[in-house]
Amino acid sequence: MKFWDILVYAAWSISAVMLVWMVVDAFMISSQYDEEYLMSSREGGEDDVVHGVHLEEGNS
Amino acid sequence: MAKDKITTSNSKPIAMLKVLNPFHIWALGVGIVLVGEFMGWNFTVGKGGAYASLIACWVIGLLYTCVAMIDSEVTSTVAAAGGQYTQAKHIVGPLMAFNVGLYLVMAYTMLCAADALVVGDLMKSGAEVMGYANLDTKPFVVLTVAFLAWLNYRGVFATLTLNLVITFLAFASLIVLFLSVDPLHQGVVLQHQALLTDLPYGWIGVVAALQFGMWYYLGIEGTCQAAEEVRSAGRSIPLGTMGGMMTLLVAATITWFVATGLMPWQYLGQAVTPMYDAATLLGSSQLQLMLFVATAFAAIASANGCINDASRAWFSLGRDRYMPVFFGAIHPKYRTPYRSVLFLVPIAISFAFTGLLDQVITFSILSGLLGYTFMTFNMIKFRKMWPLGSIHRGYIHPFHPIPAITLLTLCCATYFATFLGYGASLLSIMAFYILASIWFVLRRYKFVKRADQFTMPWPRPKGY
Amino acid sequence: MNKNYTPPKQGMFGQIFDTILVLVLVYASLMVPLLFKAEAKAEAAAASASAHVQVSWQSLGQNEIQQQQWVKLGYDPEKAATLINSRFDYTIDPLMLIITILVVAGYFIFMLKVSDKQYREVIKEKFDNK
Repeated sequence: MKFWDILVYAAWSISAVMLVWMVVDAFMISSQYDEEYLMSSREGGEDDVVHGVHLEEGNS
Repeated sequence: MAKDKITTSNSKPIAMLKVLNPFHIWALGVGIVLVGEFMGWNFTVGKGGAYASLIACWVIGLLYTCVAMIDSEVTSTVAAAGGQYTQAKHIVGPLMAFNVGLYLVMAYTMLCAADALVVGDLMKSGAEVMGYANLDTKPFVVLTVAFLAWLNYRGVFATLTLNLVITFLAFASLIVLFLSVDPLHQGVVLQHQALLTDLPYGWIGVVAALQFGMWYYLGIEGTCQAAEEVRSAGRSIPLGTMGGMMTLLVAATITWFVATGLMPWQYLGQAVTPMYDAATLLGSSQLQLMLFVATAFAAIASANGCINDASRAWFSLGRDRYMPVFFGAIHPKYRTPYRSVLFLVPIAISFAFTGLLDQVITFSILSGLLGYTFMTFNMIKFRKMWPLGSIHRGYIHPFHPIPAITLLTLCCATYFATFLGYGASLLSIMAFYILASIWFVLRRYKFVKRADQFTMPWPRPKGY
Repeated sequence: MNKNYTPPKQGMFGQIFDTILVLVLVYASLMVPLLFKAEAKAEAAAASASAHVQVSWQSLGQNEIQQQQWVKLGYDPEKAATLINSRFDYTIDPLMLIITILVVAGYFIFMLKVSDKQYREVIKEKFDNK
């Protein structure tokens, strides 16, 4: 049956396009941005997270 | 290079986007797990019979309730991508953290591979029904992983919104299936009296069933990987996790009830897609189509959540230099750990292509189990080192230390269950973690900045 | 001030090497149990070949409704017999059990010990050397 053969080729080619797109994009990013900037995230964020204050701040 | 590169000096440090709400957390948790109700849970039936499966479902449900309670408390306090990994780093120590990170990456990547295989097999049986035998499953396995990785690469909001929709549909289909078997009248469709037998292996079979009982819930604890991307993590994560746990308890019980009322246990114990088979037995093509789509949705949702969680864990390992620092990068536009997402694609595909489905599943389950064992002493140390009141906790779970002790007991029982029938796999997987630990101590740890690992604004822990 | 540990920077080659090493370990641990399984499978095949007799639903102990469901699933007694007769072996080898317990317990004890030592270093640097 034709339909399933086409589907198999479609699946291969769509996967290939997506994978190539991701790899190309990753390379583009590396050439546009400084490595240090890409790595600059810090654990836990900084602003609105609940653990930002602990209860005994100031008295212990 | 005509243009200057964008650097830290001319912009703020990069961070993930905080865009998720409790529903996304529910979708992430339940989405990963729900595929377990469509396939995999029924291996409990093979290991101990139908009643053993139900007992395992509830006993392991208790294990996971403990996991959810403990995890909610710690995560609501330590809110960072990496989840349990970050907890281990702050509470137990670097080597433990490294191992926990590996558990997470392995459990989720392997589960993702298994999910992709299910999608492939499902396409094949769908093609058979429509008169095309021997469809090649490989392109569909690859397409599943590639498409979901692509989604994950492009941003977390779209990824988890998709998960919310398809998880909900898959769950709804279980309810529809339940209603369509006329659950109140025995003997009409359901044949429990005739099909339920005594425990074929006796009580040892019940213990043995605990191993695959984990499939009913495996992955629900992945919710805390989203901690850096959710708004008000301290509230959303406990809410999403507990809600997810309740959904799963209902889904698991319904699944058991319908399947055991339709199929002899010897068949059910080895079926690849039991819920699809259940729909086939009912003889309605609409139900069959619905369960076909729902099984596919559940598998896709699970693979999707797995890529999300595994990449966050791998990213966190890289950010702390436990693993090569290269993976600690965040995409400046989509704000996702894009290199980790990309890296895990070929790995997930290669696991799927090994053809060792039961090995891969056992590895996944065992990595999860090791993680739960870690949670028990993590919790006890957490309460000891920072007693209640010394730091702000978003949520405090009741009855400490009973959940931790219960969890440890159940974990030991599940190790024993794995030993029954899968002893060789258990030992070889332990060998992997032991070798990896030794390697970490001797080689990797020298690249790690000591004080930088402790990032929470907490006071000095008691006793250190 | 300067007592803090400064780690070396890892080059690209080292990063690639480390990544590959972990992957090799994973694949190895996936493959090893296959060696054991191959033996067990050969034994099981030999056992089932020798026990080939005529089967019926009655000899398999299936009641009427069970038979009916088997048939709906597309099974005849011969096909169902392989599923019904294949059973797990839960006899416990005490030596293997003890080895397994020692490995799991030893792993956790080793890990907690080493982690604790490393953790004290972290806490010392974090809170003492500011």
